[in-house]
Amino acid sequence: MYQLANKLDEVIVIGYGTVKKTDLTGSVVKLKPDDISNTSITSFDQFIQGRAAGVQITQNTGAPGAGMTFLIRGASTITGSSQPLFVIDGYPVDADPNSSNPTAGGDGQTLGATPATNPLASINPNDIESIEILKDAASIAIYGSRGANGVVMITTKKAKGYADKVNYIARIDQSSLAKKIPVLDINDYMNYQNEASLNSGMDSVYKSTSLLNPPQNYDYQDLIFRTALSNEHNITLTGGDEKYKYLLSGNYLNQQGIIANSLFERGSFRINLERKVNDRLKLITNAFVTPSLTRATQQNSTNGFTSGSVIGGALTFPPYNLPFIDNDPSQPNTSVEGNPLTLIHLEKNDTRSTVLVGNLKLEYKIFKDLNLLVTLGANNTSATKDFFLPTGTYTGSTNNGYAYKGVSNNFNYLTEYSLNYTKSIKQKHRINAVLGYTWQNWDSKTSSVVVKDFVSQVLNFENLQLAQDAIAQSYHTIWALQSFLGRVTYSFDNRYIINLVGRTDGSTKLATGHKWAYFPSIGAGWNISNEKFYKFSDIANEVKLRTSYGISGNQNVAAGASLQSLGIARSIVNQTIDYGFTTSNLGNKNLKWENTEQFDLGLDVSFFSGRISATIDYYRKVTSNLLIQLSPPPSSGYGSFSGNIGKIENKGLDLSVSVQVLPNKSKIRWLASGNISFNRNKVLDLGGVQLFGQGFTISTSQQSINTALAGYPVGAFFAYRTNGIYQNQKEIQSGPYDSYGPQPGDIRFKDISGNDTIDSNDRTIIGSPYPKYTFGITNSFTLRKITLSFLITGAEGVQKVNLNRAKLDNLYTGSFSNVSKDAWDHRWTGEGTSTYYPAASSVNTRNTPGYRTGAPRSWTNFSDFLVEDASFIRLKNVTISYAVNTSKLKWINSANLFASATNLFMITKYTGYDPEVSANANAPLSPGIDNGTIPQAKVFSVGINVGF
Amino acid sequence: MKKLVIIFLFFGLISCSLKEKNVATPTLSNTLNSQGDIPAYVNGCYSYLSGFNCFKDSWAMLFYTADDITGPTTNLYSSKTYDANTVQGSRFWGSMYACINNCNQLLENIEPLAIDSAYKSRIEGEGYFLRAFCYFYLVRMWGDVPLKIRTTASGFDVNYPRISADTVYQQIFSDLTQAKNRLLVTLPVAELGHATKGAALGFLAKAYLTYANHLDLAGNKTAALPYYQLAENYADTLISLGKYSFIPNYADIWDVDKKRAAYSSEVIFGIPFTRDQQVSSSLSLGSEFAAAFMPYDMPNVAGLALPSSRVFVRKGDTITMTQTGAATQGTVQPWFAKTYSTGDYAGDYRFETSILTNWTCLADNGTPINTYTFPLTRSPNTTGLIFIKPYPYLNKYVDPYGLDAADNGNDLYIMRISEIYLIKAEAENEINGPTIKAYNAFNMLRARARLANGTIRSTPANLQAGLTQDQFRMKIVDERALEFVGEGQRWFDLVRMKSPNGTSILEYQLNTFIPSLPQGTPVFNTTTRVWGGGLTFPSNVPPFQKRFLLFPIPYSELSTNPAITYQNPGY
Repeated sequence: MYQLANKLDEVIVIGYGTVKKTDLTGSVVKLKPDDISNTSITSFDQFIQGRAAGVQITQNTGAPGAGMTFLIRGASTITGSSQPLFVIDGYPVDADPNSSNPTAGGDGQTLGATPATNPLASINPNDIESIEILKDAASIAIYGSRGANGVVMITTKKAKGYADKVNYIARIDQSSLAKKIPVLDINDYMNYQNEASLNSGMDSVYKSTSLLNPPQNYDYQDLIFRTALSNEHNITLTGGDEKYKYLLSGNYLNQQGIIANSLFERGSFRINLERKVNDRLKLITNAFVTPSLTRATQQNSTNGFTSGSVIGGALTFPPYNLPFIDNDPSQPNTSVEGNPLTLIHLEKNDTRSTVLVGNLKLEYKIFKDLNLLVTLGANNTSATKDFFLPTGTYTGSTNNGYAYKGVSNNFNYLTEYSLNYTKSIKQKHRINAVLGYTWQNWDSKTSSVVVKDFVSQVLNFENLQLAQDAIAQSYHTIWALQSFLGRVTYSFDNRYIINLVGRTDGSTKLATGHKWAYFPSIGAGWNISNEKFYKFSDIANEVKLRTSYGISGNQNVAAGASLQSLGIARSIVNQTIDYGFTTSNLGNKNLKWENTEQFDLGLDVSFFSGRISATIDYYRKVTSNLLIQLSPPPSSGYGSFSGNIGKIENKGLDLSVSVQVLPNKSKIRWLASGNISFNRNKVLDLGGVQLFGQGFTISTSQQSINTALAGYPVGAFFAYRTNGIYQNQKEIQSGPYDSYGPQPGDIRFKDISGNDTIDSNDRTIIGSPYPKYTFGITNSFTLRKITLSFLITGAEGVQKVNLNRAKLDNLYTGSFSNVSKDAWDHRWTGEGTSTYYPAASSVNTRNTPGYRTGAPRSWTNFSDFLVEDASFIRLKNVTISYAVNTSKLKWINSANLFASATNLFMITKYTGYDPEVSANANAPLSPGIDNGTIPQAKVFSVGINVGF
Repeated sequence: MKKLVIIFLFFGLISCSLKEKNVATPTLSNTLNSQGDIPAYVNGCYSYLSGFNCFKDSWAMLFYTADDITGPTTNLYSSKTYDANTVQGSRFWGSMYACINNCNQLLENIEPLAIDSAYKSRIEGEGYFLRAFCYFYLVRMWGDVPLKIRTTASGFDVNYPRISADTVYQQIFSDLTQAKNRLLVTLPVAELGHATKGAALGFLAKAYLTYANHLDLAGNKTAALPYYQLAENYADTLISLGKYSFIPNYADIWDVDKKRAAYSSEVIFGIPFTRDQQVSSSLSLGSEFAAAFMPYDMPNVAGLALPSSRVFVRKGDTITMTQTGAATQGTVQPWFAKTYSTGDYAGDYRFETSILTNWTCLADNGTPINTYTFPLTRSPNTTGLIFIKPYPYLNKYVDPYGLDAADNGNDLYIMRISEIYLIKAEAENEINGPTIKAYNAFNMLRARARLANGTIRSTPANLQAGLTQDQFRMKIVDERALEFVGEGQRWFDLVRMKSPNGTSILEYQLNTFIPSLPQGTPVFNTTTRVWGGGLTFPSNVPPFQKRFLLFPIPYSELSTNPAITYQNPGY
């Protein structure tokens, strides 16, 4: 079980120190992840989902070990990362997914489209004692230029008491696909192809002889999904005495994905030691190393070929195509391009990474109230990616085998000094002051080689000598951050608290003369319930009002951005290829950080001696000096340059309540808690430009569907609006002019610009990828030895672009792909038969008048036909655990058996697999797209937790 | 323990400098320091020309917008319905200016270097030449354009207004003169393909001629005359350099394995392409012409796989074939095939080499089938299956060893010695009417054509004296049409030269000549085995509109550059 902080003398970890809850002026959520391994979890951010107000965590894909989007109070950047800063035992770790995912130098469309491993999965969730999420300015300002997206403080476990204890957890999970998307079988498929041809004035494709003797039908979704078994083992040893404390832990996780041949395997080893040298000096060390292997499947690719996506391929691959040669599952049929089984069995995508974090701390009591803390730490992430695309995929076939090997190493080290002064005067005045200096230095290297044209593809990436053309690349950047920080908190009579924080950061990435930036903040709190005039202690025993305002920054500037860098181009001279330098990005000597101003007003209340406690916060964040890529005119000769222009606003409300429903003396213990978060994200100003997100392939061109435009949320959907179906020729003639030459049964596009023509000016904002609110509800019931708990999560008012439907629901046979059964069953077959799904259609190549000679507009242009309501309520997990009676066994202290189910049940209108997934989550400008993304699985787990 | 504390404190205070360490990013300061560093910068300038955004993929702007080669009906350039949003226009414009920016960067940064002054001078010559080359295309295609002769500085002076075409031409002349004075006549082999003195002279001649045409068409013949004279003078200077000569067999110019020989005698400047092994398809440094112009069912002529699904319809003993998934193709207008294989040009070897009218294609099951196109008819004694197509193909770009559809080895020749002679003939005609000098220059091309493949022919015969100035000019139009078919010259010739009724040749073709032909596409009568029907693919040759004379300023420029306040007329 876990509890939200509701005791005023509970200690909260904030940056560079701790504070009692009564003295806290900031907005902080504290979580204690007890029994975290009772459910199938790879990393602690999965645990936080649905349990903290103001924190929106979305699982982007169901691929094993893959990353999540972690948003605290909304996305406040366009080009950078919206991830918060993660601090583990005082050390700010590198949580950039790119550090363990070397892709530089490779084919961006295929490599860039496999999900990157979650860097937080390198932290063993079982080692975590508590998580504090700092949300408002007063709490995050001490992290200055790195804190604008919020800060997540993780404290790992220490030995409790002096006895040597061993704790062992083992768990087995069974994962399977929650629901399939129905597509056509061979009979319907042949009828569909015939009807489409006839609807376009051409002849039937399949003659009656084929219709009576259909070829064999294959259900490709059944062929790519499987039921997978995973397991996890964790052992923790703790113990100590007055002078020593130790914790050793080991963890092994083998998570198999629901798509065959995908897995995430991780081992983690941790050592936490504390030694009290004498009354003044304490030495602490925390270190862990986590090697891991991710075997990923290509879930989507921006080049749009079905051969680049397992899900896309399985849904659209015609059902008559033979999947395997000789029925041998290890030999997929590669004679037709696009067989998803090629990607599963012949494509290889292995990433091995090792994360090492270690720090050494020295706490020295200089005199009674003054402590010196010196920290030295290092964090090294090394990763190797081996990637291979065989013949049978588009890239593999054109290159006769394509292999990529990337190696990266990211090393950073930190030295930090802080002085901490705490003084209590006569129980009325409490002062705490912190003064500190930190220096952190990063060194990041990547090298890669791409080879093509294999003599034999059997040994794939294990033997690159069998290939011919090798291209090698290397990258190396170094940067550093130097900071001074300070904080003073003064609390008077437990009633009034004031908190002042200041930090200044100097970065090597900024241009000379602009290297330093300043981040101040102020917070204040008022414990109303401690006032003499407060009379309601019987009902509400704790009432606290707090507010804060401050400035923090976002370290988005790329190393080298202020330099005028050169690009490298290939050129032909003397009939051979040589290299040359070209102008590249236009440097900007005035480039600076984005900064975020945040205002917060909060109320903490506790009723009935703590049986009910609630927190409500109103906040408003404005991020300005947004780093955006501007396009200068082409006549300048440059493609882009980075400038600081623009403002984004996030405002909202966080509310969380926790209730001990039944009184202490009842037999059943019932704890309930819930949280709900409202956030409005809006781009206030973008210097008059409109930015577009990543392009996705639709038909034969790449188009963006996300945009950043003043007045709308970041990444809002921008495309054409549709308006039902053209029922007859008269409607087409009286409608606006459409150069695609629509015929009856085609989707009708709206003329928004009013010029009676459908053109690119008719694109408009058609939806938002952010929910109006998200919520989570947790309940736990304990009766004697049995505990039942469940978590419900949900989001309302959110939309998603279901790109899979561009091929599945348009019923256009232009590329011989399979279509969805729902679209086929409800298609347009004549006037009045449908106002949503179009008619089956093909292309008329005979120049017969009245028929469309090309693809319909809905096939080649994004429109709101693809936008769906992705609101959902999900029974995220249900757990039953039983505490076994171990009094009879001397060598076992405690034993718990548990069983749980994850993603058991969901209510949603979304027609895709999973309303939470997002294809391009790493880019804040391209959220909310489902493009062949692997869904989350339904998981059943059983396990045992034993203490010795 | 106190010692430990002091040691900790000491370690931490090292490395406190905030100076950025750049170890892997190339910048001007770390890569341009000595003479050995310069070729990389020159290569960078030239790299744009062979790139996807430039001549590699935006060639449709020059080929399909004329009247001799037509693209698919959906191609906006072919149907002349392109507008400011058409993407090739934006890409070509962008790549020209990117090249100009790199030339400016080269000229500005090489100046202060302490290196051999002769080398420095000739590299500057390359920079001037390429800049002028780019502006020459920009001014001809777009008219008034922004004129940038220094690199863009740090984000703020990016918005340049349109400068009048006359000023741009003067800059071109000045840059080419600088280039002519600095470039070598013959380059070291390692630099083959880069600019030479001959190229600078050739472009001076062509630029002066084009500007003279520009003034002449606007009604200002007197102002044009000195420029015609300059054009003729530079043509003569280039001819007398003695470096360039006709390749006797016209077909050898187009042989992809004989490119090197072509550059050492006939070709003055070209855009190089090569079969790129390392990178494929659109990012490669190969060309698209072979796949775009050779029939998709003819094996071993381009880097094309045979298309996947083809449907055959048989009527009598002729078959038509449609297919899905074919590469989009350019074909030659039937009227062109008729005009340049009859009359003066009957039996012209250049027509036979440049235009493909008969080949063997492979059916789905591997059966070879004989294919004929207009204007050929089937020989009376042949039997069996044949394919008939109403349009011939361009045969200049063939690469049997092409690697894929966008990775073939054929270069695009921009200027050959034969053009210099025609420039001389045209300039002389404009100044003095058709004199002996003009006829002699003109007939150099006819003489080479008669050499054919070694067996000398009697056609095309030399042009005989007795023509008027207008008639001679039209003869030059015709000669250029056949000599340079498929080399990206036609559109320029159509918009710059004057027709007998005072309008541009483009207007004359679209409003007078084409309408005088039988309308519609040719139709083969399978019984009588004779071509009937019309002579045109009409969507490619609509009635003239004034806007056809210039391309629209791309939307990508208009929407980001507030200093540009007007668009070309008609867009």
